[in-house]
Amino acid sequence: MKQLRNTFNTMPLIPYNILQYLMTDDGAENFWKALKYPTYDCLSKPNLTLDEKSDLVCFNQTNQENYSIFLTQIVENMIPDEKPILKIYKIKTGFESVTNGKFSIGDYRFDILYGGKIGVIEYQATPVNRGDFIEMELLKSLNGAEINGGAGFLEFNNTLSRNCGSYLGLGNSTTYTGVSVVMAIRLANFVNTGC
Amino acid sequence: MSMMDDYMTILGTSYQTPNEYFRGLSQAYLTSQWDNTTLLETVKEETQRGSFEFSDIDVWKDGIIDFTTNALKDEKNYRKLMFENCNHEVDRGRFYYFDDNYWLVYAPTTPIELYSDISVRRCNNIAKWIDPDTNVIHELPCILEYDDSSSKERIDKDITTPNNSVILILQGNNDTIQFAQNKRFIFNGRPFMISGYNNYMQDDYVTKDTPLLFFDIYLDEILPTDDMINGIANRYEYNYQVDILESPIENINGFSGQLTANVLLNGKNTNKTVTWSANSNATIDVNGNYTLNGTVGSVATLTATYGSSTDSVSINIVSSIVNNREIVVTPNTTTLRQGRSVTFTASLYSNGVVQSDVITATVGGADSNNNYTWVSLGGNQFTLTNNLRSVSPLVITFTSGTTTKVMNIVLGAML
Repeated sequence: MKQLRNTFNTMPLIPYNILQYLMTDDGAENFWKALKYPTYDCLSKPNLTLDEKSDLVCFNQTNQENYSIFLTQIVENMIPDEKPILKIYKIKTGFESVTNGKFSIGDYRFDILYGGKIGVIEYQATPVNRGDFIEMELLKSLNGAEINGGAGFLEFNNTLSRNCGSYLGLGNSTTYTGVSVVMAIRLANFVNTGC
Repeated sequence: MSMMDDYMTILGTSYQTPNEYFRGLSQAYLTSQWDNTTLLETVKEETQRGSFEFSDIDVWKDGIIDFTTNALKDEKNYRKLMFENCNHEVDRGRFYYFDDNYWLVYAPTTPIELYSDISVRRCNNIAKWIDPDTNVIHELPCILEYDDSSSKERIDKDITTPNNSVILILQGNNDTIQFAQNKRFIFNGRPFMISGYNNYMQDDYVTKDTPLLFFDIYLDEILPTDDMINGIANRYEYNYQVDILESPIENINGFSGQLTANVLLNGKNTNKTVTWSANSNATIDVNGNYTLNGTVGSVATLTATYGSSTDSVSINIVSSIVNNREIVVTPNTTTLRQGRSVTFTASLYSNGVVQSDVITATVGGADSNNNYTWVSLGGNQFTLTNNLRSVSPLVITFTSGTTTKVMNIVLGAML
């Protein structure tokens, strides 16, 4: 007889639920402005509407160059303009030995890419790195957030997953650079998938 | 004033410069010999570059032998056309049509030469594309260069995919000048995507026109939205649907009413406007106001069109009518994204005339505690808010007396 093991039936929904959390978090408005506007004064622009946030997300459109947020690691189309880009995807499904296979850990990676010439923005009257700023806003909004589909909270926590951290090194070495942030959440099997 | 100018003034209009004199001799000779050749032929000439409208013109058609040919480079793909009028001007990128083929001018006429002639190259394929804003399919004869390159497949440890690249030559016009990276085409069942392009070879300093465009196109993967049969890339990515909201069945000659139509893109309402047309049994204006003018027994067909999408209603013209009632709800929403609201207006029509009857609505199919909020505003207006996406569609039934209208609405995700 097959032992009861988790199938993580809400796991595919988690990246969407992370986005949904960001879209509805009043404290994340600056994150959206830094992602949409490629200008130095992006934070002085008006807040984005829900539709404007949605319009940044590419899900099944093939003209990928017109979008800024992707739920996959690879973006095939050439990006002709310098703009901030965010990719959200799972890099590892780990395990938690103490729970006998009934829980697991999902490591989610947030790739923040931006053109080198738009890499600095004004924050608190100070020029700061756009990647640092977006990373800060991501952590502000998501670290400790209760994300539907996960058990517990999305965390930037080395004890939950050793992959948690922030790593510089994205980009193409010529026009784009970026940073990747890894956060983790417990995965489980849920009766209600939330929709 | 120079002595030469003085001399010309004295001679008056009868004077010709040597240039004009020799050109006149050439023109006279050509005119006298124009029919005395085996090269004479009538071809079709594009009236203006980009118009794709053609008119007949006589030419001397000849081959071109001053380039190296090989098995790929076919001499039959190149022709030289000479015109009787030595002052006939033809710019680069203009189309000609003869021998069942379109041809593109790559060497235009030059005023330096005594005679007016051009070199053309045969278009060996057709570039097709769909305009995502207008839903109109365009096509233009084009040239694919002989040599393909990068034929080595893209090999990686995880997957191997095909590879290839070729140069696409297109007439420069108002549409093609917009083409940029990532635009895709399908040629003979193979999808290609623009990688790089040359749209900067301006013809002159004044107009800054770029009459010929050169694109590096790379083999791309076949997508589920590609129309591989008709060779139109991404065709099914833009699913436009025209929906006439009213459903009149019959009415009398002389009746006037109004139709409304929505244009939906991938199931979502747009603000795009349809064009209206009618058969001979009715007239209709740009706002959908129609009048029936057919005889009893005839059928008036009224059509709303957007790009290549249409919707029609057929109204039987009768001598007298029974009471046809229907409920029309605007906007005709099929999907509502999470976090958004929509306000519906329901109207009862009797034989095409709006009534003031009260309309009620019942909602089911999803969880009212979690998924949505439904508010009756009065005046037959209702507001629906999607609070949480639902796998079960919402079913809304509007009722007035015995007349009902059912709408199914998907409570979609936030994106």
